[in-house]
Amino acid sequence: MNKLSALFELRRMLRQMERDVGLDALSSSELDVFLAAHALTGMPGGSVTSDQIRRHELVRHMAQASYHRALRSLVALGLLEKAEGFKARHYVVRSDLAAN
Amino acid sequence: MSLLIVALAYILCHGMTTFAVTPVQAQILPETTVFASLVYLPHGVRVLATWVYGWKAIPALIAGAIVSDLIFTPTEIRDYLQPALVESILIGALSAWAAFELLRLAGRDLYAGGRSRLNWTALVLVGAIASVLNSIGQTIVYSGLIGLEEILGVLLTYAVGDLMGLVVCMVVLMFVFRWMRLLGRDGAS
Repeated sequence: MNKLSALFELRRMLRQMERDVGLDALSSSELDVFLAAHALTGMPGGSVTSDQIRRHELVRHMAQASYHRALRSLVALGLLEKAEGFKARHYVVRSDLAAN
Repeated sequence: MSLLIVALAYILCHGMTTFAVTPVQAQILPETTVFASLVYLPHGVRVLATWVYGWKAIPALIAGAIVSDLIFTPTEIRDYLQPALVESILIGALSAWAAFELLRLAGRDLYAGGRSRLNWTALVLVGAIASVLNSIGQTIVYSGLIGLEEILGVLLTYAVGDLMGLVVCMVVLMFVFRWMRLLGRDGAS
């Protein structure tokens, strides 16, 4: 086994450990933004704009920097995906999560 | 190069055990401290290195243990343990490999790159088996030096200390990777 594979496997295993001990949970800001985006998504696979999420009552009072940080974090975590084919910033709640 | 890193990691962890764990333990369990540590960090290196390199990790672990002993063990303690020091080092270096091999013979090949993907709980299980094997081996090796009334304490200290060392190593690595990931995410944004 090469070094990179071993490192990858070690990281995967410790990432799982993080999840199992509850460290990988979302922050309260991330959770609010995610729930707002989820609530605004009309149907599975539907997109929502950044401004719509920003105006949602869960997010309205959040500091601008915290909001953008949470949004970026959710995209990085794969919970929100940037919708293709739009000029403005549109996001899609990951379809398997939106369906639940 | 990789095996040099294993030896250096072993020495570093041994040093941290010597300077951070041993002084505290000596206040609580002075009788067993000379033989075993309650949080023996190099056991984490043993298990992780053997997980990646298999038997090839053993020479690096032996080298790390010898150098650690020369650097960190006070002369009077080394002289006291001298009659069984070589056997003790060999047993320590072989314990993780023996645990992986026992599980392989039982049908679970848990080496990195093997058929089954290793879960962290399985790695802790391997570490626990290795710690028991090491504990029994060390107690036999030092049986001439340990008083009868201390044997159980030493046995337990070896087993618990090795396992705790592995768990602490894994938790530290988990936080290192977590911080790297979070810093990377912040840096990219």
